[in-house]
Amino acid sequence: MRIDINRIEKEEDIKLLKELKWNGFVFYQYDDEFSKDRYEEVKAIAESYKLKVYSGVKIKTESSKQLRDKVKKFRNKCHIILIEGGVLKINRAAVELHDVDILSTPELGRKDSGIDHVLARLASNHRVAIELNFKTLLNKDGYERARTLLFFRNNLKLAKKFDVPVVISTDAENKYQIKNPYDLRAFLNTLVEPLYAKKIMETAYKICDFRDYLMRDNVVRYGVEIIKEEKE
Amino acid sequence: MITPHNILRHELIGLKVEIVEAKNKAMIGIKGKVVDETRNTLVIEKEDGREVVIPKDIAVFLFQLKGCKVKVDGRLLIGRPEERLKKKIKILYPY
Repeated sequence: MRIDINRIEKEEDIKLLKELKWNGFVFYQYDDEFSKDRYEEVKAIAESYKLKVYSGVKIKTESSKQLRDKVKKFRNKCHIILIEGGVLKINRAAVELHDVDILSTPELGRKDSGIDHVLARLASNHRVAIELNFKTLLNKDGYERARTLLFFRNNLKLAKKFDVPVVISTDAENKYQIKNPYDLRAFLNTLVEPLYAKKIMETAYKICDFRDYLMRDNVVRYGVEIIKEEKE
Repeated sequence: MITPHNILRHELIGLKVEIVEAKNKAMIGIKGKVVDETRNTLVIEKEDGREVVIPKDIAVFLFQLKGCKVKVDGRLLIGRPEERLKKKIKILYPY
């Protein structure tokens, strides 16, 4: 299963996702614009093309306290919670929370990769995935792009050492930014060995499936599930 | 009263149980009543009276409660009954 993370809304763009062999995507919205109705519209369109859609919210803030409050607020309203990184204290606060699913762009606006061995270990313990955002890479030129690649490589080294889940996303907003999953896989093959690249491609679906399972009514927590008995 | 929400901290002795998943496939399908418990095992009395010792961390148990059944991953049950009361429940992840 190949799951992308993007902001695709239009029908023709969703159709293109299907044609490029994606199995589904996480439709995320920023925390200040989150709307369940908007997600339902996208879901209705995508289901007609047999694509799985998961709702996501990307939280953008510079205060650790606000971050925790917003995570608590949105946890039960959507499948996936992403945190936009870049500030070191936000990166750290994100990887310390069990309720956070993905730390997005930890290197945003920084001159280092945003993740060190301490944060990698925390992310591993709390199973917070690190996102490799393909759009941020493509939007850079020259040395900036090379440096971003270096950040990706450093983060992948730490992720592999500490067994941190990693996801890769196109972060597409229109059809011109949509990428073929095989292109992403090929890109990953240039950074890491093929088996690890395959694992990275599958991580997004595993996270989505896990969160979708937890949202069922009969699931108390992962590992405890109510099976209702039929009354005679 | 034992409920699906507090079963992890509740006494398990006396409950009817069935093993629905296990790493050792020979254990799947064992039914009976929990008669004893240690930190890492459950002792189940089968319907024919024989007792079997089941490791907790390799099996998934289906407990019969009043009005419903609860499927519990054995890894969450690790710990002595009195210790489970005060332990923080571990969060499991499939990835």
